Amino acid sequence: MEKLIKSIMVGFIGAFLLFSIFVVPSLAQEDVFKFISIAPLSGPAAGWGIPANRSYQYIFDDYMKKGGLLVGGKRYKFELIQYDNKYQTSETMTLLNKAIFGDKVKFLSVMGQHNCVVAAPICETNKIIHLAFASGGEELTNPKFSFTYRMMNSNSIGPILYYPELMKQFGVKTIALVNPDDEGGYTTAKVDKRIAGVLDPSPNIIAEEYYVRGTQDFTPVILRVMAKKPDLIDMGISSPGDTGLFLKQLGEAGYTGLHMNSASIVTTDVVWKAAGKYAKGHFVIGAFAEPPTPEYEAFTKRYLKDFGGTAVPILSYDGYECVKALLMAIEKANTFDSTVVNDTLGNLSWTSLFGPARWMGKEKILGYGINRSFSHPYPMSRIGEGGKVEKWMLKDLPLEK
Amino acid sequence: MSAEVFWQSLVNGLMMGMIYVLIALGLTLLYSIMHIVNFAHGEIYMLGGFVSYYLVTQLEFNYFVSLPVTMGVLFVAGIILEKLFFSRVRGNFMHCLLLTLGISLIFQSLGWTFFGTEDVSIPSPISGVFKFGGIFIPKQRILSALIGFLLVGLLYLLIAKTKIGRHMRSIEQDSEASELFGVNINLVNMVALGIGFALAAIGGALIGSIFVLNPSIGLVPMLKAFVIIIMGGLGSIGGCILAGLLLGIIDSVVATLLGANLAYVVAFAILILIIIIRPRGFLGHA
Repeated sequence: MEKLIKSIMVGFIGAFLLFSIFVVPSLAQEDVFKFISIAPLSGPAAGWGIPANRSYQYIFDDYMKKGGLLVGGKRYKFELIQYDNKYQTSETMTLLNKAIFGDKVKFLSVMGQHNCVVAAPICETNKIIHLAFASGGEELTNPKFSFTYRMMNSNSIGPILYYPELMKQFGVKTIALVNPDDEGGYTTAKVDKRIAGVLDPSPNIIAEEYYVRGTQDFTPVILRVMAKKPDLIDMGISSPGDTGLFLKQLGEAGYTGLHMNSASIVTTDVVWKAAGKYAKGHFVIGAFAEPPTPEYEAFTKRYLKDFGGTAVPILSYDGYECVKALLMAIEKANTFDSTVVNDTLGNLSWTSLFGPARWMGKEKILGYGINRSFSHPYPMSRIGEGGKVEKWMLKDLPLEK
Repeated sequence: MSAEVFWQSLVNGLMMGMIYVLIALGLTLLYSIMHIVNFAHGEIYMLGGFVSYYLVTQLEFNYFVSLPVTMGVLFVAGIILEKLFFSRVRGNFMHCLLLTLGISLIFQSLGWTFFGTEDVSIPSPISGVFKFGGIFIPKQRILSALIGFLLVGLLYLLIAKTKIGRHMRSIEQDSEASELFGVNINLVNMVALGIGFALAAIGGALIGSIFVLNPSIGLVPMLKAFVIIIMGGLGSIGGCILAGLLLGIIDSVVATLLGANLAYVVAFAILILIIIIRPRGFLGHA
């Protein structure tokens, strides 16, 4: 028996040595393009992080069908490294340092406005192309952060395009802003107030409330807001989970006015799961009721087939397109030198799942001074029965020459 | 703040307070009888929510049927845990503390694995609101508060009027003497842990139909439960009820008046004051 155990142990050690000598070096020698995603994979914002990572994997899979990423005559495979920042800045900083100085990557993505704002200067210093999955305003998109690309429409776009429409069609005069109590929330409220002030006619922002992300009982916030009798409650950058719970309690408290998310792209079925009938009629930015292109439709079918559900989380499309743009820029620049890729990427316009896409920011009403914010035709839809996305309007920010 | 908003927040606070009381009662029961500071109480609350959620949504149980079944499931889980683990470390405060911390971490990790990361909600059996003047009260909250009230009453009767309740009280006063007089300590401890778990579980099941469930929801209610049992007096049911309702009102009224963050400040400031002025809490033993 003792002999048998000894033989098994010797066998294991031998197999381990053979693996170390022959297999490990061959893995290390492979040409691999590493991309790191720092996103919430647990907690209330996981409904954003998980679909984003799925979309990155999709574009990598699509490139692999073509043989991989072609740079300098060589084909590169992909490695998507997924880190969970729990939607917290402290976690993000730790993971960002690990990514830059440990994993030594030059291309990464960070999720969450509050996280991206702190990641941007570090990425700038180290010349890391930073795909920022965040809404927000000039705090993130400005000439100081030329390596940072916002992967979704700026959160100015919702108010710029749709506050006037809501005023015109529903007679909205007063708006209450409800946002999470963090950098993203404060920035969103600041942007909304600035845009409201610039618009003509101008809506009156009568309340500004903040809550801690993951709050369970919104009733105190709701009571404060309802006391001001707003025509519209704009939940700005709130996550799908927080939005759903807020709407449920808002409806139960007897509110019958309009409500919307003007900045964050919320997954409508997540909102519906929490709020049920009280989610009906909620205005959601960025959610398409009808596919804008056949490619968008194909993406939707593919996602639903792979992951189930009734609707594709809207930011999956953004994630797919922005990483696609990065890969296009790398291939076009024919190098992994992030400075060269940055120049190419910043000037890129391409055909996306949404239709024509580009980077915006230099437009006067935005005033960012640099084109680093993803721009494409951007709808405002409404949540229908069962979380279904219902068509309302589709507008695009006009290109300024 | 208008009178309507004040009354609305007061009523809301009372209803939430009743659910806090349920959770805290389980905690205080475990402390007074078994001398366990149960750091896994929040996770038991979370598990209760998910058990009820799966009973209602997957097995199509009626919500009202799911509540006693949930309590039963966690009661049995409590008995099993007592038999397997707690009985082995009984009397050693530090070991008990570490055990509950370990159980807490294990249950939360398993929660992320099995329940997923997305928030879910137990479909409310009743919807709509009652309107009194300008005050809106969701029917589901009233129902939850009433169930909470009923269970607190039943717990009181169990402890005050039944044999097992008398044994619990005797152990609370002197466990060695109780054993000498023939009280089955093992049985009482098992029942106490089962009841403590069942109370936390029903709290989760009631909250799950008002708010949402995810594996991390246990922390805040557990902290609140600790505040309640210290404010009310360790081991005191009356004190627990008083402190629970007070905390619910502070949470709601102060948060409505001054914002949610200040509600925490006020609640903990009161707690610190009580610890200094009246260390045994409102109705705790000297």
